[in-house]
Amino acid sequence: MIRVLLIDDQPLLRSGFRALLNLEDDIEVVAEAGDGEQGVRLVREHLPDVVLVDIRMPVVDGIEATRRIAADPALSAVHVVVLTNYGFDEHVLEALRAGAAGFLVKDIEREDLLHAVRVAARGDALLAPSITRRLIDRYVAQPTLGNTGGVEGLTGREREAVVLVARGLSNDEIAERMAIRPMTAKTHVNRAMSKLGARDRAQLVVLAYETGLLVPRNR
Amino acid sequence: MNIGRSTVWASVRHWAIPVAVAALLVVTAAAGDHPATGIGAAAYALLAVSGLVLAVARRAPVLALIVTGLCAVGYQAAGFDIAAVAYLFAVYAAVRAGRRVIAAAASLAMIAALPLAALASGVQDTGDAFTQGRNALELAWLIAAAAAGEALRQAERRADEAERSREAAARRRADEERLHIARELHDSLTHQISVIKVQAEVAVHLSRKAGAPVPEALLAIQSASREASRELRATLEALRDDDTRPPRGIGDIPELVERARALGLDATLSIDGEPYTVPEALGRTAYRIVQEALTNTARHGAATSATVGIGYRPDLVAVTVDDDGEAAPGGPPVPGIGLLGMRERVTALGGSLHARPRDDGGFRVEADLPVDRAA
Repeated sequence: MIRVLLIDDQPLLRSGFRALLNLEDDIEVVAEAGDGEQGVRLVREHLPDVVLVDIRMPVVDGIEATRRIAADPALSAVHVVVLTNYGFDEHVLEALRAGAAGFLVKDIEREDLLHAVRVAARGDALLAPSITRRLIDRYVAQPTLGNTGGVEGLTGREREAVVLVARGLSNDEIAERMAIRPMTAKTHVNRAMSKLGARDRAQLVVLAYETGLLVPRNR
Repeated sequence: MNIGRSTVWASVRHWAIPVAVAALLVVTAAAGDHPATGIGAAAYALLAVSGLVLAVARRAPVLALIVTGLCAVGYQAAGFDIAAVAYLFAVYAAVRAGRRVIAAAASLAMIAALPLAALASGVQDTGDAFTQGRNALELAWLIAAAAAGEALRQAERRADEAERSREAAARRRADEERLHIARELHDSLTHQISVIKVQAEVAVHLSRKAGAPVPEALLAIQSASREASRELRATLEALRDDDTRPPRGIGDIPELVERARALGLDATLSIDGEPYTVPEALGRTAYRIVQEALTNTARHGAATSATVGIGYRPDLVAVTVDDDGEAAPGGPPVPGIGLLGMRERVTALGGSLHARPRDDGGFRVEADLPVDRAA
């Protein structure tokens, strides 16, 4: 059972999402909150698998809520997915930097919502890889100069794994591509994440771009 | 009445110098014991006219220059040895209006003509004639009049420029404010539409789950809200597009066309009219329209060639993109989602955007972006 927590300041949107998610047999909404402050408190209390959090909220916004969840070692198994009204923008990137696993546009189709929640809960693949890459392409134009952020500590195999993560491949697919066992692929990805201080795969990709490990395609 | 009084005051100011100059000239002539009979009467008339014509010096500086010059030569020839004061005023006015070359040419002609007029008036000695001509139009006074006119012209131009840049800044602020309002409006709409859409989604699925047929009305709400949020999102993306760094503008369009060529589209750019500097918001919008149109052409059109046109008209910039794709004439206009959003931006700038199949085949995107180039 995937346990989901909703944080959004629009009650009608929350109730809509809750109804859609609860219709599924393998998903359960355990709690909901109207702002980031209350949301983070409920996350600590319920330890959900996935938190859906609106980016823009009063009191404590989604980015700050993500940051607080990411900063708490007790919540390392909680995957944060941010909700946005728009396709992608700098706020979404900010949320990914803060440690979100991915983002969803609020008006997505039901199937996409369910898929996103399941992928986020497993934590073994990037959410909406093509959109995530477009986002990063667009907003991370240049690697921050002088910020190598521990990239030089990555082994060749780990770098290779990071590139495949950025392409949206899951651990199993990475294993296949690199002709290694899935456990080994997972180890490479996890090592790369901990060396770069990334909490989720999306953050790993952002960091990889910002440190120049991956180069954005020309727009 | 205030208006009446100010009109009177304006005409007093307008006529003060011409009348004063005319009076000065006539009085000087009278004081010099010039007879007011026969040819003398005509000379008095010329003196008066040369003063009064200064009333049009502001509107018709060249005319005033010619009339005052001819009058001066005329009364000199009639034997009235009086300084060409009105002509000096006309030189000042002409230089102030920026007619420097004409003023210089006219003054050279005057310097040559005045001694001849003195000779015609009966002065026997050539040297005396030249002295009289010089007295009538002192070179130093001439230069002083021209310099005064030039100084004022430059001061006025600087003031104009300052005024123009103030206006441009005000217009830019207004443009930005309009875009900001549009953003806010669409922002809050998007929130509400999201709610409608999610709730419709829930209702549809609950009723499916219950095994009942889903009511038509519900499906209509669902599809309308989907469409609405799709459009809103495109609009918002267009409205929020200002954050691109560095900002793209009209000057980046050739690069866009070049890129389309690199992708195998036979794209050409034609620029019509004299390019001028456009406001940043307009340039950005023009760039995005061309970008979206070329993207759409590449995406659906089955087109092999495209023509991008930028027309610099006095009051607007016309942007057109034509392709030779297979869009059916008379068919419904199906702009890409990007153009859908762009329309909002164009509207916020007070312009219009049309995207439709052409009668002779192919698709045409046409945007008129008004430019307020007052002054």
